[in-house]
Amino acid sequence: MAANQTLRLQNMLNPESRVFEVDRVAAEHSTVIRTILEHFDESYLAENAIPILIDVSDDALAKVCEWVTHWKDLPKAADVVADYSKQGGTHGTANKAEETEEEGTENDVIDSPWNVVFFSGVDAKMLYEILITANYLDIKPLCNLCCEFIATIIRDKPIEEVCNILCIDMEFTITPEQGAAIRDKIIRDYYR
Amino acid sequence: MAASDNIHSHPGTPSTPDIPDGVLTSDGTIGNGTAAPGKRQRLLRGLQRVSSSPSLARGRSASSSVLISHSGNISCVSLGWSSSSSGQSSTSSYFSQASAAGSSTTYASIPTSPIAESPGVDGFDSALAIRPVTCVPHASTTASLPAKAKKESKAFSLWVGLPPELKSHALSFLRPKELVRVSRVSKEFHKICFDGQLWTSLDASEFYREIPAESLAKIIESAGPFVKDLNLRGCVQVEHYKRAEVVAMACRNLINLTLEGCRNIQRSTLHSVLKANNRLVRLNLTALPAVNNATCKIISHCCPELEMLNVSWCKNMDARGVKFVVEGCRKLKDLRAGEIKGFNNEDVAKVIFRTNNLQRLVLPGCDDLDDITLRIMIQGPNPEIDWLTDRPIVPPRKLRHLDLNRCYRLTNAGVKTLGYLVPDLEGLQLSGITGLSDAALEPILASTPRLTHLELEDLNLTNSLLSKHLAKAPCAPSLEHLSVSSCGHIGDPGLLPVIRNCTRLKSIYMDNTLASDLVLAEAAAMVRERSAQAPRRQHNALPTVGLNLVCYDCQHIGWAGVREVLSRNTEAPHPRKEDRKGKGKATDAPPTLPIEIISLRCYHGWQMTVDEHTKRVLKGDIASARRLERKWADFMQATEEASVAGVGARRRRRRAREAQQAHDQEGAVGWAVATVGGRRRARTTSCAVM
Repeated sequence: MAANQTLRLQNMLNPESRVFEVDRVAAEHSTVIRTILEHFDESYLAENAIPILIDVSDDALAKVCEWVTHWKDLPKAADVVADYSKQGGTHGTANKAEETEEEGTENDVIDSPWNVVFFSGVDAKMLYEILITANYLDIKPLCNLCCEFIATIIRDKPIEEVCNILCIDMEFTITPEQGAAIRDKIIRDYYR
Repeated sequence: MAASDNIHSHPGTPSTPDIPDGVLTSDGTIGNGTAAPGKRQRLLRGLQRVSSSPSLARGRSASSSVLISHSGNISCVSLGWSSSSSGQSSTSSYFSQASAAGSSTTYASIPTSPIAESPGVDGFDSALAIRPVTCVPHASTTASLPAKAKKESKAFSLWVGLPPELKSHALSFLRPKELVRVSRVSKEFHKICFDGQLWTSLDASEFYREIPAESLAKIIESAGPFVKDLNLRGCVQVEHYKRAEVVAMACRNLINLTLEGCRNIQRSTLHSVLKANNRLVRLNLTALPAVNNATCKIISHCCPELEMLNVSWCKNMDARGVKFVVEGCRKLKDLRAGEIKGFNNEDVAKVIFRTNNLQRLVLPGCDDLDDITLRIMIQGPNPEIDWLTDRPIVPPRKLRHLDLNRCYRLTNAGVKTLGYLVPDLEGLQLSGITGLSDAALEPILASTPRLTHLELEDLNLTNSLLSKHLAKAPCAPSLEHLSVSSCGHIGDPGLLPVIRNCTRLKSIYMDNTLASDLVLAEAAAMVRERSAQAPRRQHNALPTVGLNLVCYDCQHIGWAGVREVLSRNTEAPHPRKEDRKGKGKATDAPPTLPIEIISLRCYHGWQMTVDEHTKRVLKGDIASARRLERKWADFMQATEEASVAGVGARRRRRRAREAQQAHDQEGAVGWAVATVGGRRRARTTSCAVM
């Protein structure tokens, strides 16, 4: 089994979709593709592209391919799972230490300047598509990265802005004056 | 924000990578767009596949709400950010500068609509901000909506289409405080934010001062059965309005619980929490007045899995409570019961001896503990004595850490019984037991090959214990931490052999001893030798602190010894194979940096210079560190000469002044300008070294 074998991916839901070529090592980030590789033999894979049955644009798919290709040396998801089960214990302090350690490695990935560039050109729709593609293909690190990115977008923002960014309708109709009045009342009730 | 210029009526229109055009100001205004109906309309089920994909394993079934999209006419929003823009207050990461951006290409409700792309965009860069997307708009909802809502609904809604497990996952990256704040966004947010999955580990230590009991209780109530690790350290508000009952009722699956310092928690509440959580593994009840012996009895009945218990400073219990727990919890390995009364109870000691499960026993300040009970703990009530060796025949203890700091009643007779019975001991703390002398420690040192941590502060020890026993003990090669502070009789004859033989030492506390400059020189040589043996690292990796040396208040330590350490700190280790003789002068500035250095704490008058020197070495700036050391040495020497009266005293004083000026400049550079490049001679900020 050639380690540097190239796999082809194609979005089957879109007839005009491009065929993407990804290194096998990189593609193994995806649990779904790994499962496919286990169940189909080489000759079949050589002839046919792996179908992607999700309605996303080619651009998003290209971004995902770009990401997995760049991070192909990252430990794959299965290893992480094994780590978790190994860790399984319940020693509070030990657990905490390991968690922080894990965060450390994760932060290396998240903080890497490459990812900043990777996300710098991404708009909301693209982010959405990357995220659902990563979720569909079960690429955990990318999934985490996107989710964390969403979290950092809404972090430290006023509520109205969060609504705007995520395009959620404001459901609360209390005006600021009413809100202040309610706050005052609560303070009075509690501290008197 | 004039985004409305970018109208793409054709799917093939190449996108313009014009960032300012696409980027939206952070207040969220989004340009209006004109609908451009696409050619095709397909409804695909593919997304449902996504929403029910098991990938995230968050335990949610994908609900049908995924596909709900009430927004009609949506345009793209770019969430691109630029780290260089300096408008908002960014707190932690570069992502926080996110500014939404919008272009005006229209789009219909996302999940159910097809996406037709402009294919063949070769570079990702060219497709950055604006992405032409066409499709059939939903209905003409634009006209009827109010202006504000219209604007919002035109943007692409990143959030609405996401499957719930991804929403939950995204929010899981927020800290608890942010989570509570952001829960006000919408009802859906509120529901997700207070979902138990996000609160499996609830650590209130970051915000315990600010959160009212009401909110805390609400969070715990909604998260209830999901919470595994609960840390309410210092939450004195827990008992307000009886909301603590809620905590007790809600949490049923706790594994780690810390209630340290929740002094308002009442006994009945505590008992019901303990009764409800049968799987507790670690329990910290430090300084809770609610804990009494009955509590300990409940713990022993209800928590069979308990491995760690901390009941230090619980005033209303005594050693008999400890007895219940040790008897009842068979898995208990770690018992911390500092400042607990009543340890002269022989029953307690017998139980500890009989179970022999404890690996860590921490009893600092238990001043009731006396020789008889300690002996019973270690060798049982009536041990059989081996007539040949005169030692009791009992199975070895499993203890690995024993902390008996400030158990003032102990004497040699009691502590000596530890010898030959605790082979696994790794840490031993006997500070402050003033009655101890050499005789107590000799058998212990001879029989603990795994000892790494030894604290013997303020004991009545002599040099012969260190030189004849510790330096030759089986634990000498593995010893990492040694504290002999305030042992007034210990000096060079004891410390030199120890430093020579214990080559893995990471910290030595020897303040208030008779140690002299020789010890410092020996320590410097040991570290140097050790770093030469160390596995080769990356070329020119920055040095690390290998040994912490604390030697203030030592009357025999002078500046010469300190200088020796400083100068050794700047030297690279010996070259391994090619031993070039005669050429290894310090001024040659060898290319490699030192590997391990000594972090020194000495007389406070010299400490600032030493700190500055260490900082420079750790930064890898060897040249400036050397310069500082040299100037400091000149200054010290000149001061000494100046203090000598006689012929030429005046000249010497002048030289001392000059040296001080030179040293001040050097120091000031270090304090004022940290960078190596920006070297400024700051005359005015004379350092307060001397």
